[in-house]
Amino acid sequence: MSNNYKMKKYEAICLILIIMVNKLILNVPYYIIDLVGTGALINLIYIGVIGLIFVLCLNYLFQRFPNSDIIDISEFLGGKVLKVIMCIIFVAFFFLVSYITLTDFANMIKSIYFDESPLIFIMLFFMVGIVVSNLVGFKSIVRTICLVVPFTLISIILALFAVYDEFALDKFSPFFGYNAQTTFINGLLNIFSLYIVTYYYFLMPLLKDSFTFKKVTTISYIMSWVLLFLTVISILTIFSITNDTEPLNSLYLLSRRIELGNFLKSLDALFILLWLISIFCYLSVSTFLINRVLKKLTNVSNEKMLTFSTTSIFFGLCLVPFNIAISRFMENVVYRYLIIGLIFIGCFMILLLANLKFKFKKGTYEK
Amino acid sequence: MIKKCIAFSLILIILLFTLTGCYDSNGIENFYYIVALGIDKAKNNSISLSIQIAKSTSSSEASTSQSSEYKIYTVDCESIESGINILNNYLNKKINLSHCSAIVFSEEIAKEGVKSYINILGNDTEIRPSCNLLISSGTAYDVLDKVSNSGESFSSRLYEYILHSVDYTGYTIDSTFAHFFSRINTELTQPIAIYTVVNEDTIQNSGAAIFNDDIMLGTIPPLQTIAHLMITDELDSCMISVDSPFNEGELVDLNLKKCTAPQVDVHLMNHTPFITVRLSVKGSINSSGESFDYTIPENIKMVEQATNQYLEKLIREYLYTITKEYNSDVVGFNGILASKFLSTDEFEKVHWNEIFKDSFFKIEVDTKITSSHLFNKE
Repeated sequence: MSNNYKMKKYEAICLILIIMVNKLILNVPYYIIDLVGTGALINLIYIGVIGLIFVLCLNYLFQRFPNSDIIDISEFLGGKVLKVIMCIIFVAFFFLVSYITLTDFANMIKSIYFDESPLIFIMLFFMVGIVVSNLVGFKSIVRTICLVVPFTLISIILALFAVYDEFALDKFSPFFGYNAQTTFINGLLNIFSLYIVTYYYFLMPLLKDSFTFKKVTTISYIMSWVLLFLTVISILTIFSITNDTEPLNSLYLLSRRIELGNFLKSLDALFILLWLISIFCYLSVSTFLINRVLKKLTNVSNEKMLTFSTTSIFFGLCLVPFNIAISRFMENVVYRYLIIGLIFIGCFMILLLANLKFKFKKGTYEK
Repeated sequence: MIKKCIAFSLILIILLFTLTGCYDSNGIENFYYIVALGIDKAKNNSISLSIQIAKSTSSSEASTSQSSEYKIYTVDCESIESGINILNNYLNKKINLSHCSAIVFSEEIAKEGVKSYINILGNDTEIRPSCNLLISSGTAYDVLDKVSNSGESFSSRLYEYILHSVDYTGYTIDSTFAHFFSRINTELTQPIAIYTVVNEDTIQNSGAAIFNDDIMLGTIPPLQTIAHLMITDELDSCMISVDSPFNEGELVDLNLKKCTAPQVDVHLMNHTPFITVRLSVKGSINSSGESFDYTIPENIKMVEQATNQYLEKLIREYLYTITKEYNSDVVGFNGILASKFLSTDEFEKVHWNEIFKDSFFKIEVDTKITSSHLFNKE
């Protein structure tokens, strides 16, 4: 199967949604609540609107660069130097994100189900999956994602129904959280939760029809935001805002509460299976993107063969001793600033300047 | 053709591995499934951990999968984890908590604080969030030992049966581990748990244990738990006996159910909480006594008024108990008042924990006696 497979509209939306689902699984909603307390709902609406404006701006700025991703645009703006810099930054970024995701999730399922199994075995299962999926091709990854996404969405909506009985408005109050400054100024940092924007920079060349880019980004953004909002509502309903305890995986704890009458209990096992597949899909997409960026960096003809070296490096990274303190620091501090700095400011500036250069060049040519 | 043969052989070889057993696999025969866990206070600041295990009855005589016998193991230990480790070592099988129906604390240990135990158990993924949490008036061991109340054979479902009486009596509350865990870690509501009275040979769920943070302060009687369930909108149905308005000394038995969700409001008057409770309940007459003819509409109205007065008094007593006696907001009035403030910083200036005991109340109950449906008029 070719790696030049182009996605249809709904496939692209599913791909973005699976990325958001992974963020939900790995406790991002709780980090939002942790920062702004009960003001999370207002804060989410606030950053949601800012994010939407950002996405609309991206749509506008990408209009001049059909079939180009951020690496191509960097080359257009700053030549090979900027291209190489951006390639290195994004490869490092995707490795870091994949490392955090895998180690965090592998540790989670180890503590739940495989207490006596070595962590390395659990990670190896993912590695084998990533290698196979990337060798088979991008099409297989996309098709698997399309299959998994509806079930994963159902699982998250079910989680909301699970806490329906405990739903009360006073659990979300005071509505402005600790104070207005925390919710609206410090709370701006929560925009990192809309991490899906990263993938918009690479989406254009992967689409069958580049004209659908605008629709794909807008629809997937709104759907992802709704998912995030629903999860935050569920978590706020059952977890208190306190310094004494902190759920290290809030969505899992939430799923443990799901019971459908007296017949179906302990549904968390089913959910873990779904999440496991979605994490695997997400890691496969990340590896595919690493390969794509490396291809552009090194000019190799077949990016599929890069999978072996990429996953080897990835696996090597995963052998770095992991503990929850590192994970917390990475996800709550490094991640926050990295995504805001690189994705929301750095790449946006490149796109903006490239547009200005395009306009300037066009003007000169017309003269 | 050769390629196909190689691929087929490879698939066959891989499939062979699926037919083998794993050397370190864990089946159900490797575990002891605990039915209930009891925690008592022992000497030298240690705890006494009791576990109840249902004995399996796999003989041909056994007609059901339910066990009819049980065994309780007790060990003195420093913590729950170390206790389970000691028992793991003694029993030669690993203890599994995934089927634990109840966690029982003795009153003595609850009065010293249970937060550390709850947080340890909260991290155990085997414990189900729906597992019940009980406070024993005696020792936790007694509850485990006397759970077969009516002399019937022991079953792991006994805990579920006993605890489900709340659905039709209202004499206790439904306190699961998940609820207790979240209440113990929040400032919005104080924890509350089932209170189990240990008698000579039996146990009885009677009222509820009131906590402040993680320390048990005391109990409320069964009738007051009805008031608690009404205010918190958790009442399914209950039976009350109201003084007959027609003949002194006679009682009218009523079966009550909630009509609409309770309206609870809190606001500050001169920096003192003013709590308004409006309840709407519907009831049916179960027995009317000799002097009461319930076929006359005026008589029904009189019973409704008597019920309103009875319930208002009951709720007032309950609210006085939790405010003046215990100063523990087990209903969650805190959250209702907090919703009237825009930010937490603003709400913290109220100092809720200090002013809650000064609360005063307005209680309005509207009872509708909908139908009697008795077969014989007494």
